[in-house]
Amino acid sequence: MNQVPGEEIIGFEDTLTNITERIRENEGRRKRVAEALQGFRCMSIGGIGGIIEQSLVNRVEIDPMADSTVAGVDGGMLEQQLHGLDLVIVRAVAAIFHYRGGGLDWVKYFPGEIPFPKLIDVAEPLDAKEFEFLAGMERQITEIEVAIGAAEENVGMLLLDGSVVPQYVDRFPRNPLLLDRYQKLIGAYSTLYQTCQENGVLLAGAVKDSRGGRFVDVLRKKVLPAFGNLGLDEKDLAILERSRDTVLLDHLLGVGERTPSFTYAEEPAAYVLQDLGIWAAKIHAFYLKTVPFDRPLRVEFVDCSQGVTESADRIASKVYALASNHEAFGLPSVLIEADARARLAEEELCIVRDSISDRLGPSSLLDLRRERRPF
Amino acid sequence: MEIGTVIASLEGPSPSKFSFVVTDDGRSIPVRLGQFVEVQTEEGNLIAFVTNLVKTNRYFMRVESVREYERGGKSLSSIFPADRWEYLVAEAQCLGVRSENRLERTTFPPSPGQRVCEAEPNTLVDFIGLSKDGVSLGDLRHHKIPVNLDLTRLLRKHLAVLAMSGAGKSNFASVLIEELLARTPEIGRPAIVIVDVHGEYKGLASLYPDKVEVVNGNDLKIGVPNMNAYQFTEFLPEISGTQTRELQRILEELRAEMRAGNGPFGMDELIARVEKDGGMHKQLQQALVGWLYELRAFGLFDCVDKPSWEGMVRPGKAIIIDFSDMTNLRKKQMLLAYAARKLFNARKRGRVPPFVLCLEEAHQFVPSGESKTAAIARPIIETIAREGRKFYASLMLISQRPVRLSTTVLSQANTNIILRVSNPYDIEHIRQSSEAITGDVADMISSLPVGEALVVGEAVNHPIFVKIKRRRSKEAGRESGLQEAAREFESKMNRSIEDARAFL
Repeated sequence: MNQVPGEEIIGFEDTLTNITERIRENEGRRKRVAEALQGFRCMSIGGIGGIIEQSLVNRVEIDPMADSTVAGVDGGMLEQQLHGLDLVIVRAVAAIFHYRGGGLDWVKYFPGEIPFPKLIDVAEPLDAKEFEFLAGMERQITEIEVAIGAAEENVGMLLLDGSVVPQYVDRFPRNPLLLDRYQKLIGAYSTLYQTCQENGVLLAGAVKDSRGGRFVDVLRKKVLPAFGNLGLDEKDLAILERSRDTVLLDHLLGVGERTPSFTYAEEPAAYVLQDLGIWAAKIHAFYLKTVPFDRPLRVEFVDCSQGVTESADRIASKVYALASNHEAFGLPSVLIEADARARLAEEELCIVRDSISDRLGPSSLLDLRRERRPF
Repeated sequence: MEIGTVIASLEGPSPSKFSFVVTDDGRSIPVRLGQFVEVQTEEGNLIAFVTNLVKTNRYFMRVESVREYERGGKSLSSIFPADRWEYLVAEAQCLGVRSENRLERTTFPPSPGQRVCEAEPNTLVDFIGLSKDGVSLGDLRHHKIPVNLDLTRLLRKHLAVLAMSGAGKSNFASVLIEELLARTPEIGRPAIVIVDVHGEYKGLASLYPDKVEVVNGNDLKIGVPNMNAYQFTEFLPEISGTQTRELQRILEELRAEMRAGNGPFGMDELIARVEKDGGMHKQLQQALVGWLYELRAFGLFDCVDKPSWEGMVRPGKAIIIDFSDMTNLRKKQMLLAYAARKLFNARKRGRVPPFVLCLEEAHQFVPSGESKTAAIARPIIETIAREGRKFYASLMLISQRPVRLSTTVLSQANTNIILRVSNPYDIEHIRQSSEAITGDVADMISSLPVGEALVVGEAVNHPIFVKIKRRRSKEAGRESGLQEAAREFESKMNRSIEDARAFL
């Protein structure tokens, strides 16, 4: 039986209403949990589940940026699958800002203002997922190599756009090319940590849209039970299972406040950290609310020697200064600039593709069939 | 000097226009609106004119972000390296291609990536059509090139100087007149007749005492024996055809008597003869006498012309007809109509040299849409506008209200010198009167600084903006300003009162 058109609309409206109500209800519960936690802002939770500092909420002193040099590193990537060949172009830039008296004094870029993109061609028969892994690793290798160079430019803090740990990788690829790239990537990260340690550079990463849930997980599993669940009912506690860190912490943290630092993973031997050797135990994170109308920012850092709390305080202080200029966008300015410099335009990939096609001659069939539809 | 690189945009490059990104060479202003540039293309050396300049900066493109970042009192530039994202994009109109020393239309676009350079002076001199022996008016804007315009191209097909009050019309006219007066016989010297409504050109007489003569408008007289009845109808359009015929008959009788030895006759003699004439219908006679009395009341007529126009107009000399003391517009129009006709006819017969008739406030003498009574000089000026080029009788029309100027005359002025004009009706009128003035160029007219002019038409191959040089002669009595003039008037008045008291 055919559905009456009006019924489709009613069904669609109902679904929208359900989604809205569910969001509202979940937000309400999270708010209740956060309000309950507010009463225990100063509770001593240090040492529980990898949490380093004692207080649940820590005040951050804004860095006056009287005489500081900060580098932000970001990369851009474009990929195109062609017939018998896949192309990846990547570009990474470090924007190096020097502040004097609280204002931007001078700017330089490493390796240059708009460096020429790096072209990677993949002729190996990789499946789509493997290609995604490879492209991601190439982007990260390029970024980290630039970060290593920037760390040697006499900077006080080096900020990566994203995690300080390799992301989107397969530790046990069957393809030797992927394995080679993976090993190169791990080597690059280790070199970066080492370089930062040797040059006394604070190394941190600001994760724009973190999906992390470890902090809430620690709260739910270890902290709250230790405090009798703060009188919260089962339904309220259950909402924590479905909450990312930033969603809950947006209700808990005020502007200029951060969570205690916590270890990157519950077990240092877990996941990719295993391959980072001695550095694995030095990688920590915290969340910092920099502006009133944006979610807290996840900041990851490598404690290169100063002690976790001191590193966290110094990094938080600088990140807060760099990311508090726009009330609704709390990302450090140096990363906004690096992103703008590294971004690649689609035309850049087209130029590469067209140049190859041009050299091959008119009979070349590079484009996939889906790109050659006649209509 | 290289100033930019051609870029690809949605509209170009095309054979008619292209855009280029300006190279940051450390100069604060590397390129300006109205500047000429050149690009080496497959067709040859392409000359283009910068019609627009646009600055972009990604940091300032989103208004809400600018406001948010600057809310705390910090400037965006103290947070981000915003200046590093500023790009200057110039839009240029292709004017032509120089290939094998010829200028041709562009039929092929420049390529993206091609270098854009400042136009070379030699290229521009050829391209614009400047002349070494020409009349020097000033410098080409944004280029250190003297603008010397060829005399024939500038004046032969008449010249219109259009601008709002205070924009530099009389300075330009003075510069041009000074240039003409400074010419030597070897390079040709036209005569100049200046109709000076406000007494602005009298300073020329101090600078060139042996070349410039000032004639007070009140001293001008029209010799009645030199007039025919049809000239009377110009002054009195109400005279009927029969009256004109009868008047002509009387004039011929008087002229015959004059030739027989009775001596020249004036208006009184003419009126007396009409009154005595027995062959005329009584009513017609009375009406004609009435018209003639009306003319007589102007006090313009005499037995001979004063001055003798043919005697005064000489190569390399200027006559200033000073109408500054004369308030009656009709009187001024009659005198101009008579003098202009006299000069044009003399020029046709080769009895006076090629001349330039400069008409200050030309809209008063050749108004658009006015009746014949209110536009007595219009027919002869329109005749000179149409036919003058054949006899090298040129007009220089100066007006601050182009929209009120006869379109017949304005359209015959093949070169326009346009200084600042702000009235939109005038700008539209100017635009319609010359096909060389595009929309972009017309837009620039209202923002021209005082003393800068757009030269467009016959005298140049392409419209150019010229920084007009300062005239050497002094502006008569206009330097003091309102404050000073008011103070002077009052002290003069007080002196008169004191003198009167002392006398009593």
